[in-house]
Amino acid sequence: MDIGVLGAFLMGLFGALHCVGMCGSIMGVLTFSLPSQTRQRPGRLLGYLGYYSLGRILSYTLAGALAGAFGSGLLLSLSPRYGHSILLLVATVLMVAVGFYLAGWFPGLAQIERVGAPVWRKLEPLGRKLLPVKSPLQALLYGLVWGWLPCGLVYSALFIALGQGGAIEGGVFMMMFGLGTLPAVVTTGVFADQIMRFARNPRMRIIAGIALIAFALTGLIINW
Amino acid sequence: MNKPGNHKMLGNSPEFTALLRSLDIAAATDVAVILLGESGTGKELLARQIHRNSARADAPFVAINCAALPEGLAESEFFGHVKGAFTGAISDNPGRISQAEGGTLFLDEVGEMSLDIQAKLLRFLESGEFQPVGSLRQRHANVRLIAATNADLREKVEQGSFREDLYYRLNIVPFHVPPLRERTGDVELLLAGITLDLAEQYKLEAPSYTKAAMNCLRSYDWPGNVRELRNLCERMLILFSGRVIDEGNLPREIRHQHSRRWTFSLPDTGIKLEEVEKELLQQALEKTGGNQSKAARILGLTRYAFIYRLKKYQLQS
Repeated sequence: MDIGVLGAFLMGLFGALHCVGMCGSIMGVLTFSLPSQTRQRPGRLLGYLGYYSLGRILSYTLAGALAGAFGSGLLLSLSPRYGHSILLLVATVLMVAVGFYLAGWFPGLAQIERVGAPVWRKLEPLGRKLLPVKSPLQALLYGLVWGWLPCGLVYSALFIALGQGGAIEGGVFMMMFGLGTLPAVVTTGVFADQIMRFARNPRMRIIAGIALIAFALTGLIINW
Repeated sequence: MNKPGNHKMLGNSPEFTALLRSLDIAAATDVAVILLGESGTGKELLARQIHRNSARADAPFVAINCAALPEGLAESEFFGHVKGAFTGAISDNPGRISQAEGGTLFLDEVGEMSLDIQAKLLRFLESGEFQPVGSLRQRHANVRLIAATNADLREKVEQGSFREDLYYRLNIVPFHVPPLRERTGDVELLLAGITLDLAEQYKLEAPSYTKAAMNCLRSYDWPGNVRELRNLCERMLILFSGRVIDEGNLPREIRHQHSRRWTFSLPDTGIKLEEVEKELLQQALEKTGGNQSKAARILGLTRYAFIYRLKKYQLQS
């Protein structure tokens, strides 16, 4: 077991529980701003929700590929003997930090969001031009923009993607992370209130945080 | 003042900026949103910001505080009335909904509306139509609705004081406004910003705060949120204009926040500990609607220990 694709998926799955407070509201806005004819047909509605998420996950994948390519260069410049161990250690520390963040014991991790604020300032006006969404293409494009919304959890995952060994590995890592976020984010678009109440439950967040910490530490022990 | 991406005066913490980014997205659509958060967190300012950033920015923003509407006048305030509809109706009144035509209608403290008004509001939200008091004609209005509350609306639905259908109509896209104590770094930012604004307004020199005073303010719980912070800034400015404020100059409740979280003091005549315990058990049950597990938790007891005490004092079987 490595902090690889399964770790990325779990990080997305547990992490989305925490982020649903914000992304859930955005998904709610995007869902309810669709034309009523679209909302009343479950098949079409699900299609639109799928396009939003596809766009978002494509952006994560692109960012992951860039991080992976950059990280592999970094790995080569480090000692080939210890490079992997160093990156594994950094990835574990970050995942443990995310676990603490999810459990509510390390809110400071959210400061990492400031890193992406300049990028978002440039992309946000583009996103506004796409709203309200009226076609699947607009939904996909909006999803692509949404993928760059500053988020502490996404950035932590990207830092871990740095150590995945290459562009493809980094891209796959972030794609799996994005897929992990799907259940919470998509269902929140339709059942905003119920999911948000569940996600705001401190006990659920602590369980998610501890599960992620345990996963990260187990991965470190096995792979060291 | 607050264009998207320029929210410094409202807050700059990751928790708050994340909310503002989401609200910018909401502003670009016409979806009804509800802002949930403690009193004093700035829900009306946020509602105004949504309006300013929306396509309805050039139309009116009309705010109604549902808790402040007198029972008898609420319907007329919302929907208007025609001349002669009731004693004192000496002229036509268009009502707040008509005033908001094309713009945004902000319903603050929406949980405090009477059931009668809730039914009429629901009808308006579903059809866009309403009937002024004393009129036989239906009117139509096109408004975007933003609601806000610090109450638990679901609990109100369960208690029967809030209509379930209206709850689902309003609660489509909820946004949680974080309390000031959960906004990392915003106390310092807002304190400085508000103090400077007030100093300019009152034509006074702004005071400065020592490190100890800032630490004290940073660790304070701010139950009244930004409103409480603003009041403190005003008080400090008037009392200490141009001077340095130390921890000892801060109000007592802020200085003694850690040593005492309540204001109970032993009366000179004494008190029976048993009575205090009984009173606290009863209050905890009332606060939690009779839920023994929750009541035990807020008193720092296990459920077993709580039930033991209830039996001991024969408070509940």
